[in-house]
Amino acid sequence: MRKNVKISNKAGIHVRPAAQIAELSNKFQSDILFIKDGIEVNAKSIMELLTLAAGEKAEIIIKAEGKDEVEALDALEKLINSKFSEE
Amino acid sequence: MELTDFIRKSTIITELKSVDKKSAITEIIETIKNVYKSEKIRVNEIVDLLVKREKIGSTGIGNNIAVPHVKIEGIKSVIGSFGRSSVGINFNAVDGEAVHLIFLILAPIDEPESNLQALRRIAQVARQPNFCKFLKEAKDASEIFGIFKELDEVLN
Repeated sequence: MRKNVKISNKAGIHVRPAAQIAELSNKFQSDILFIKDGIEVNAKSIMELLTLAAGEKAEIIIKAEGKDEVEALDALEKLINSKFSEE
Repeated sequence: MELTDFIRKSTIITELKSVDKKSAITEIIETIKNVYKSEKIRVNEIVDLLVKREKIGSTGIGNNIAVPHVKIEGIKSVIGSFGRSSVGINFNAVDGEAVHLIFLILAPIDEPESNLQALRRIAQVARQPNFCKFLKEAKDASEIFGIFKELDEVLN
């Protein structure tokens, strides 16, 4: 299952947003990938998420596979749209 | 962006004297200040910002690495520094481990993209096999800088 999202916080996915994404992703059993410009990374790893260098307005495809994929996609979309409690 | 684009050999601290998070950050910023001699680098102000943001969420990203980063006014490009602690510093890192390797980033306030590019490169090098081991074993700033240069070449 996939979902397209757009990064909306000004600073993009720097360390703290990456940590929040990885922490949330780890709560789900599904395999979760973040895809940007054709590059796929494991959303459960801060280090991998940082290699995306996803800035404001970057378009990301979130791909989740597993029995809780629907919940995972919803939760991650919500987190990204919350701007990680930043500007 | 390459590691050696924003970390100069002269800002590398082979062995941090500090044993706690705030003093380690201060020691690194003071070193940057001494090297760049820019009035834009206001040590106390930057340390306060970094410490405050560490409280919101640690920049200890695991693998004994921390990447405190902040955007400041008046600089044209990313200024980075690297500090090593053989005893290890408590950073409340995500994996609960002590931090031995600190990459500190100061990025221009109007260019959020440059901050992300610097973080990307640090994450890329941190994923290289034996990266931590080599860095922990390097005997001086020249060796550490040499490792950075090699990693940049591998990743290009």
